[in-house]
Amino acid sequence: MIQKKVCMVGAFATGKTSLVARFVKGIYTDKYQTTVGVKIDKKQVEVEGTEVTMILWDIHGEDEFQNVRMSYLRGASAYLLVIDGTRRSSLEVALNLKAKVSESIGNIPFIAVVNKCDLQDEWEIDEKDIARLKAKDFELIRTSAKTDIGIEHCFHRLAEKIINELPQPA
Amino acid sequence: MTLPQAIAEYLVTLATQQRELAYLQVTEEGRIVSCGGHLHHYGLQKVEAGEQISDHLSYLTGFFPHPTANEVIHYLQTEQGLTVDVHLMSHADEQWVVLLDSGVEARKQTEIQQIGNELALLRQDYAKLLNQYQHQLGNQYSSQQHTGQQHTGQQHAGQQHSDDQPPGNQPLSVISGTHSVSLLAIELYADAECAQFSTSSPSSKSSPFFRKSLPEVDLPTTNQYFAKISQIVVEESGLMHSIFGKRAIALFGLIPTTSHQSVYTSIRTAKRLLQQFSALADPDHVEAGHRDSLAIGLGITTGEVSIGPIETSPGVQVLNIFGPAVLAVYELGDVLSPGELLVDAATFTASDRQQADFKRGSPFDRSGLYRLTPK
Repeated sequence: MIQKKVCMVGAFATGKTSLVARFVKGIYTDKYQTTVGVKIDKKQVEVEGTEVTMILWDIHGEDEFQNVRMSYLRGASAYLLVIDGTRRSSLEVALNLKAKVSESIGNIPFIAVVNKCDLQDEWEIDEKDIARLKAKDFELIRTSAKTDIGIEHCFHRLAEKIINELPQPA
Repeated sequence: MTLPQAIAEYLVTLATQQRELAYLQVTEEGRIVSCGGHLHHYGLQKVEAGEQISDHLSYLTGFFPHPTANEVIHYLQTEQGLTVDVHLMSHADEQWVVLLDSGVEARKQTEIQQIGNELALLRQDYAKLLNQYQHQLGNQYSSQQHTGQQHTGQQHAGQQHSDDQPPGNQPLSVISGTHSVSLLAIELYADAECAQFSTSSPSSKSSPFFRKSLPEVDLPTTNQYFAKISQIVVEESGLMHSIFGKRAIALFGLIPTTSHQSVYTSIRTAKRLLQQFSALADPDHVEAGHRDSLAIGLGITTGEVSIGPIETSPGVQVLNIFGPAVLAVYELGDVLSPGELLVDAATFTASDRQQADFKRGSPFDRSGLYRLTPK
C-alpha cells in the first residue's frame, strides 16, 4: 500500500470541500461554509491492484483574505484544480493557480474539475472556455458534488495518474 | 532580544497550557528522534524513536526532507477535528515539528471570512444579474432595430446601437422569465387618520388612502419617513420600487441575498419598520396631539412575477413588474390599518417557522389574510 498527498486547489466557493465530503463521506450540504487553512481527510482507493491511500489536503480557496501558499503543496503527488462552472472568475483564478503550482513544485499530475454541473443552466463557463482548457492539454471532468456526478471518477483518475508516475520496478 | 524571566515563563505557560504545545524532533528524512509536550492532545500515543512521522501525522506525508527555512501551516484541521498550527523549524542541524492548538483563532477567523466571502458571492451574483439585464436590453434593441428596418425602411442597413445613441421607446420586455418575490406595501398615516381608525368600525375602512385632506402632513415630513424606510429596505436587500403619495412598494427576492428567502427578508423588514414606527400608532400617542408624526401600516404578498425594463425616454429606464402578487399588494395596501402587518396566504405558507407569529383574519376577519399578532 502506498500513501500519497493530494491537494484541492481553486478559488473560494468552487466546491472543493463539498467534493471531498462527497468522495470521503458520501455527504453533501447546500450551505456554503468557508474553509480557513487546510482540512485533512483520507481515502483509500484501489488502482490496477495497488492500494493507494490518498491524504487529501483541502486547501482554503483563493479569496480576498488568503492567497494559497505554495508551500502547502510541498510533497503533493497530484492535485485537483477546481473551477465553479457558474463563475467565470473562478476559471481565471484556477489558471493563475495552475501556473503558480507548476512554477513552485513542477509539473505534477492534475485534473481540472468543472464543478456544479447540476446548475448547467447558470454556467458562465461555455464551450469556448472548455475548448481553451483542452487546448492546453488539461484533462477535464465535469462534476457535481450535489448530485454525485463525476466525483469517484475524478479521484480515481487522479490515483491512476499517481500510479503511472511511480518509478517502474527494475 | 533577551526577555525578562517573568515574560519568558508567561509565554511558555501560555503555549504549553492554553495552546497544548507538543513537539517532535525528526531527522532529515522525517524519522522521529525524540518528542514531548501534550502529545496525547494530538492523538499521538506510543510514539517511538525511529518511526516515520507521517505514520503518526499522515498530513506530513511528502514533507520530508524539508528545506531549512522555517514554515508554518496555519489552521490545519485534522481528521479528528482538531485545528492545529504546525510549525516546521530547523535549529542547528536539528529539525523540529511543533504543534500548537489554534482552534480558538480559527473559529474567529472563520466567522470573519465567512461573512466576507458571502458578500463577495453576493456582489458576483448581483453583477451577473446586471449583465443579464444589459444583455437582454441589447438583444431587445437589436431585435427592434431589425423589425424597424423591415417595417419602415428608414434605417440604414448595418446601423448599430452604441452608447451615445440610445434606443428609442421600447416595449415591455421580460428579463429572464419569472421570479419568485415578496412585495411589501408600506402605507403612512397621519395622526388624524390614526385617530379615525381607532374609533371607526372595520367596515368603514374600505378606502383610507388619501381619504382625508391632511394639510398638517407636508411633503418634507413624508419624505423624511420614506428616506428612513428606504434605508431599512435596502439594508435588508430589498428594492424600493415605487413611492407614490403616502404609499411605497418594496420588492424582495430580486437582489440575491445570503438567505435566498424573499419571504423571510420581507417579514424581517416589516417587523423592523413596525418596531421603528410603533409608538406612532399608539392611540395614546395620537390623543397626545402629535401633529407632525406618521404611523405605518404594512402588507406583504408573495408570488411569481415577471420583470421588464421600459425605456420611458431616451436613456431613462424604469423597471416594470407584473403578476398577480403585484395586483394583490395594491389591494392589500387599501385595507391596511396603522400599526399592523398583514400578509397574504402565499406569504403565510412560505413563512415556515414564523407562521406562529400570525393569526388568520383576526381581529378583522379578512378572508385569506393573516395578521401579525402583538407579543
